[in-house]
Amino acid sequence: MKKVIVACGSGVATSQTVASKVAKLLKEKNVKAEVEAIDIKSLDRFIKTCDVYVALTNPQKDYGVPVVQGIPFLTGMGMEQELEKLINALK
Amino acid sequence: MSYDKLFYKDLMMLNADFSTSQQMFEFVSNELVARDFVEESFKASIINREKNFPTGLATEYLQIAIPHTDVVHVKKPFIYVIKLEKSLPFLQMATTDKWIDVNTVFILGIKNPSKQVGLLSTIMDKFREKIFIDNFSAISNQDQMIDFLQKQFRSEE
Repeated sequence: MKKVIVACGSGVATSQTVASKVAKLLKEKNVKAEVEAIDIKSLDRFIKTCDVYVALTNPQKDYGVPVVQGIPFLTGMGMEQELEKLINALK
Repeated sequence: MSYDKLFYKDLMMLNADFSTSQQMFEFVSNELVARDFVEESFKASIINREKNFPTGLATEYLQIAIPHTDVVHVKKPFIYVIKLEKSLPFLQMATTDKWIDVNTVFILGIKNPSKQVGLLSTIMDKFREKIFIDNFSAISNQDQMIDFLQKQFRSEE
């Protein structure tokens, strides 16, 4: 199963919210993937195990995996575009 | 869970006037400490968190900020609602250089993330509704505001 990680500063509010939104949208589009919310401090550990990284902080470096912007999933603005990027990255 | 109980009539400022966000955080933190909602450490923590992980969000109708910090600094969950007379600059979430003029701040006192996982998405959904925004913007009285928010955030289950 493909894996998506969503990281924010503490893993308590924003990443959880975006992760559940992303999981719901992927399900609606029939894209099978596991979506996990993590704390930014564990990013280095999780990044190796994922296929796409949904970023809620400014990415500090190139992680070698596709990065999708997470904010549109919170605000709804530009969401379709980021969702399409995410789905393409999971193909 | 139902989120209406996170709002309190005395945890809101509907015509707040601050010259900086630092001043706003200091004022609100002191009030929250006095009412025993947060630990003394909350103030430094939320200011620091906002610097490192900004929470400004531009939605279709409003520019808002949703500051929050680690659960250890929170004693009792709450949402502190601030409508600013003069907007304040906040960095947009996930950026280090994009400032937005924020006029609505919801400070989230999160204590139990697993129970409050739907909270932020509920808030964001409300801020995408024109009718919610129109009402929220028009209300300047605390009695009306608490009544409005509790109705809006009462769970339909």
